[in-house]
Amino acid sequence: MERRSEIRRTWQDACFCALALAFLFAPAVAWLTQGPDRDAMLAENRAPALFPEPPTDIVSLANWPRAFEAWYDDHFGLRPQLVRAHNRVKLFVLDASPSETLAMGRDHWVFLDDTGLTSWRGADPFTVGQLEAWRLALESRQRVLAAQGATYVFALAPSKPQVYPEKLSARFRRGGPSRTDQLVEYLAQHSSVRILDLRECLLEEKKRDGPDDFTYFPLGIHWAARGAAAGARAIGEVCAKTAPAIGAIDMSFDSGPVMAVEGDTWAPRMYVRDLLKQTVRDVVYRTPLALRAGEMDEQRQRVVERDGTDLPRALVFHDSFGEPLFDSLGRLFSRIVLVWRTELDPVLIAAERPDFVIHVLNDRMLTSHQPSEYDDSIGLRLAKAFEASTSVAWKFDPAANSPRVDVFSNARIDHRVQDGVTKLALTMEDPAGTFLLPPIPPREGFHPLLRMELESPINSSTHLMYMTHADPRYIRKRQIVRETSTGANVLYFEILDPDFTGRPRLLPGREPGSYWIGALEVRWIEN
Amino acid sequence: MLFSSTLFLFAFLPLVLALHFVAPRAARNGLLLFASLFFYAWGETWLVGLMLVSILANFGFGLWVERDLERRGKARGALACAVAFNLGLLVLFKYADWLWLSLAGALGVAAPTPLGSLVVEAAWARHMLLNQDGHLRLPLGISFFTFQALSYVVDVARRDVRAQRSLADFGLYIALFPQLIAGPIVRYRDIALQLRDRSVELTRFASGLRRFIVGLSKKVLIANSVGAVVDPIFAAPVDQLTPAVAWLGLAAYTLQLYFDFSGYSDMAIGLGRMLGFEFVENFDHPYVSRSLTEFWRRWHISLSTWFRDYLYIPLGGGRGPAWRTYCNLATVFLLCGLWHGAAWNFVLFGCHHGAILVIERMGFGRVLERLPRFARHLYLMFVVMLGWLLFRCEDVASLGSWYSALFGLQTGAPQWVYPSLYFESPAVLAMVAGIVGATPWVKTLTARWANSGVTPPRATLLAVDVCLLGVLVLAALELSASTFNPFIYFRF
Repeated sequence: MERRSEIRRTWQDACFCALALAFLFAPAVAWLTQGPDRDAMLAENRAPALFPEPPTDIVSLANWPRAFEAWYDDHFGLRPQLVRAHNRVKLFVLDASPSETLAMGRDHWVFLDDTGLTSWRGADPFTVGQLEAWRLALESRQRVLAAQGATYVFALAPSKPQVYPEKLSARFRRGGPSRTDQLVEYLAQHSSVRILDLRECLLEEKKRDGPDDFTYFPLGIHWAARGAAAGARAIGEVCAKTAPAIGAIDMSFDSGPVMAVEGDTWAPRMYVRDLLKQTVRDVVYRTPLALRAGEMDEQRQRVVERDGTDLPRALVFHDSFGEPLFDSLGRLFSRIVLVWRTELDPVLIAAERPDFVIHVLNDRMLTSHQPSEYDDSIGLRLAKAFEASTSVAWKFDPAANSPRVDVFSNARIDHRVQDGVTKLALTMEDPAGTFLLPPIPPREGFHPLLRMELESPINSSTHLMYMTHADPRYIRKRQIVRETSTGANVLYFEILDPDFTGRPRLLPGREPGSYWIGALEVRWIEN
Repeated sequence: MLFSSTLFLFAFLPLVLALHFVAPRAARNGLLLFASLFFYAWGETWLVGLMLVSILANFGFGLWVERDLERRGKARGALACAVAFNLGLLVLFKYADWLWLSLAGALGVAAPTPLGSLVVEAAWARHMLLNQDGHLRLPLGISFFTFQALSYVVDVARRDVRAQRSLADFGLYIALFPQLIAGPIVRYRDIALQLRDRSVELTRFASGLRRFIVGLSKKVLIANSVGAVVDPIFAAPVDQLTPAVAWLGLAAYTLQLYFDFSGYSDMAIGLGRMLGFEFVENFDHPYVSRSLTEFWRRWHISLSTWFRDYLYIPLGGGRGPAWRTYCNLATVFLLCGLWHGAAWNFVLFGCHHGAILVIERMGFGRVLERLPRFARHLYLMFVVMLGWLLFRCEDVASLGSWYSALFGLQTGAPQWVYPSLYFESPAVLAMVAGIVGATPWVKTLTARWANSGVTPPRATLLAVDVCLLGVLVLAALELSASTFNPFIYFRF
């Protein structure tokens, strides 16, 4: 009896070991027999980590294991299947988010767990200094553009939680005013500038929702066609105060037919494209108009024109919320140029000479975006503050790379000599290439202002992220973005967060290539 | 390379296991030593050189001590050199920078240059020895392998063991990858025979694999999931915390720390067993303790017994007058706190535990024994959790705010932080599983079977294995998903 029991136990041990080891060996076997899935990363909307180059010096040798692990994490065998299985368990068994990027709502509605949600909760209020920065920026833009004969309209497109809070998980609730609320109230009290808060028109349009027809994509983060149309109509109403002819254009619309497209959806990124679907509808304007709409060019610009009208001209700077506005806004102007760029471009404004400069940004930008004053002279506020300060935290020597700038990911550093001047070439090998700048030691009563001379090979944007003691991670919420033009740029990054620490992380541009640093210096500005 | 990483689980471990069991028995130690040094070098690169220096030096010290014992009957000089060398390494790499910066701060020097940046000049040496902030790099596991090496030399000096004659075998004892970076601290005498003579039959391998899976699931499914509650609470400004949120964060951290650490120990013990080594148990359900004295018999047992055998007892232990015992206890726990990290919060952690242990020894322990079990347990959890707060808060200045938050002394905490904000189902499940898993119900059940001579039902054993395979899959899915990083826009 005991012997039989022992034999059964041995068989059980053998089966257990065989199954467990088979599972542990399976990814390696799959990788060896099938190779890595090279397209898997496209689902996550990012470039996979590159296989590291053979090390050529002691620094690259020391970094090689980390780079290899990054490559391995993106390429190990059965990765898509394992991630998909994980996401299915999280979504459909635990009703939870498969990624810390996302907050799943009711009925599998997708929300970004980021600054938009934090702002809706009132959990990250503006400081007075930040509100002042926005006030100064908006006033300067309005003032300068008015002097050039253009009306400036700043429209904030709300994040999805602002319009569909009932779709959020019950664990989220509001605890204070959002950043949009704060900015609107602050401007009402301290300025004559007004922003166009698009929440009202969207909440109104939401009343026409159907069972599968919403103003925002349930599985995405952007507004759908009806939401964008409602936003465009509200922008038109504001512009009509200055140009009454716009007010005469019929912007009424209805939901159109179901389209055979996925729309804005995170399902593919979660590897559950076949399990989570949504209905996508177009809008149908009650008064059709003939528009000539061009395609987006390399400068991320698109032109929409209407013939035979004397309607005003507009230039629109926008983020991803601006893209669905193309055709709707095109109804309102004789010529509209839409530029996917979050900062105004004075050169383009001077070339287009629009009647309206419209800025359409998602309210996430109130957290991730440090506004700069618009001024076509060299006397920018930050430049003035920088020049006025004599307290230098550090000044970078490109020839010696001192204090050190290091590669953080998927990039390399070279020195180039141009016109007898040594510059540091930061070469991004793919869109994931980033660098670590030297650490900025904290100083009581002061905050750092970083000045950078950057040569960019393309029109792009430069991102600077930093960590805090409380949260030692590089995240979108703590980044400062500066738009750059092809060629020489002088950029200023002011870190107002008193809890910042460590080394700022730099993404020189949105595309791979070499970005040259001619000068880099940090000075202290009194709080 | 962490045990809980895809590279370890799907590449390194299968490769090492395959090579280990394919290799001839005589080559296995060499293979394991190579794998262990590779494992260490993978994470620490140049600092594997430090490990090799430690191995060579302590191998030599062991032989030297034994030779002196044989020739002269005593080996104080050799032992003193060994202790100085090992403690010197530890002090240099772990404490020197902190002591320097603390001294500079005390003297009013603003933004002092880190010691490493002052001392290390050559560029190649700076790359190897300094981190990005200019501080001396802290070699992973240095606290563990120096304590192991010290215990070896002292045991040779005490004639508890013979000095190891094989450099490779000694190197394997120091560097063996299962216990290298997070313990348990293995005494040489516990594995001396196993270094030369060990076998791995199916039962033992299966037992080790089961233990490894338990540890992996503790770390990945419980500790990491509970971390989703801990991290945002501790990242939030303290003045935003209500008492409920503060205690939730602290309770979650209490679970996270235990399951993270004990999970790693379980993985180490399981891996060791799969390779033929039996390591000592490191945790024995410490959260069921009813006094801090009992807690330290159940928490990080390999560390507490190390301090007992190599510091507390040589200092006099519990012999001599009571005040002497209290001083010994306080000293041991001050150093125990410091062992965990070079920062003032760890000093406070050590003082906290030392003080309470002294109080219990002074008579409060006898008072405790008269209280109901529930009250004693509540006392223990209160004391331990406050200790973990010291452990977690490296910014000592924020401790006052934390205590205010915990005890409701803050005014006007905002409304956007509340407990249910953190109650996503994986975290809730993990906390429930953690609370259940922290109790010794499995141990109690198996002991009951063993005592009654009853074999557990076959169906039960089968169910256990099915569950273990299930959690292995879940843990692997979770690890795979840690590489899942989608973006809105195509970027970094």
